[in-house]
Amino acid sequence: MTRLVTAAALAAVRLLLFLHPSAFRRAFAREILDDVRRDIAEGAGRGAVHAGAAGVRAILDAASALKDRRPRRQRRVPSFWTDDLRIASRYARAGGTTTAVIGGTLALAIAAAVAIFAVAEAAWLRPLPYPDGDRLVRVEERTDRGGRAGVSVPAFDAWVRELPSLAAAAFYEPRDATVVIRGEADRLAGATVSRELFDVLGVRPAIGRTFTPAPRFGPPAKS
Amino acid sequence: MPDRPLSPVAVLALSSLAESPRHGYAIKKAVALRSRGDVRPGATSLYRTLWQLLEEGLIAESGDRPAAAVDDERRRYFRITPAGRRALASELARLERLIEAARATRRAPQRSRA
Repeated sequence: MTRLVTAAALAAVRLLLFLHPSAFRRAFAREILDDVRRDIAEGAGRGAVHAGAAGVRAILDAASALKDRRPRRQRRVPSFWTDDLRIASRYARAGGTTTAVIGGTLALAIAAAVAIFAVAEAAWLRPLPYPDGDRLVRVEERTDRGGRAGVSVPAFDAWVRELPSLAAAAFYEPRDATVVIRGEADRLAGATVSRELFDVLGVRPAIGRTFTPAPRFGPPAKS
Repeated sequence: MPDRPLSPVAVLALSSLAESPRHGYAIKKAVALRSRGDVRPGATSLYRTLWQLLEEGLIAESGDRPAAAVDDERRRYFRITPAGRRALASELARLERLIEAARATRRAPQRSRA
């Protein structure tokens, strides 16, 4: 009889435990079932009725404990995100016009800072889009008034000769050109360059070829 | 510290653990004994309470085990934490204030109706 009561009570309690949170079930199911078994065994010592009553009590208890709320983790010390921000937002709402003026000023200042940084980053900080871009330098001559001066080929050759710290050098002179393609004239951005330019920059043309090893001056190589 | 009053089972379980670490079944027996049978939690209710106390940091699993002769090695032992002692003291003080207030109300002379 006791064995039957125990088996029935354990089956019912086990079933009811599936309605409890899984974390609780994983942590305590074995001990609960052990205790139920022990309660019924103790009851059996006083008679079958007591054993049955212990079994019924265990089942009712497993059902009634379903209403117990899940434990909440202990509340942590008030943090910046929970309390300070809440208080700050209350003050901001109460501030009205003052809050709007401060907010607008902040927005303008942030926008100005972002714009200045964007320009500085593009002009000075962003590396050149070439392999070893940080090793590239531009050398040029200036007039007494600060304007750009043209560089002659002998002067360029003298720079290369007299600046051994330069691993390689090439010249580049922006020069736009008007081209006529299929009867239509178009203005294209171009440059006069020396044949070392592609090697110095470390780039290859997307289509076509670079210069052939012809003399720097004179008739172009026949291809 | 929990932001709500502790249940009678939790108070009695904490006070039994304040004496010494115990396993679940021993806590269940201690709760019934201390309350002179007024509070007799079932196994599931008791472990739901212990789970809550564990999650709130008021009790913890104990590595200390009794002598091998009386140790039940299949069972986990629990101990009260310093936060648990503070919570118990605070709850007992709250209950004392409550009882004091109730007694004072009972002692106060009944206001007669005009």
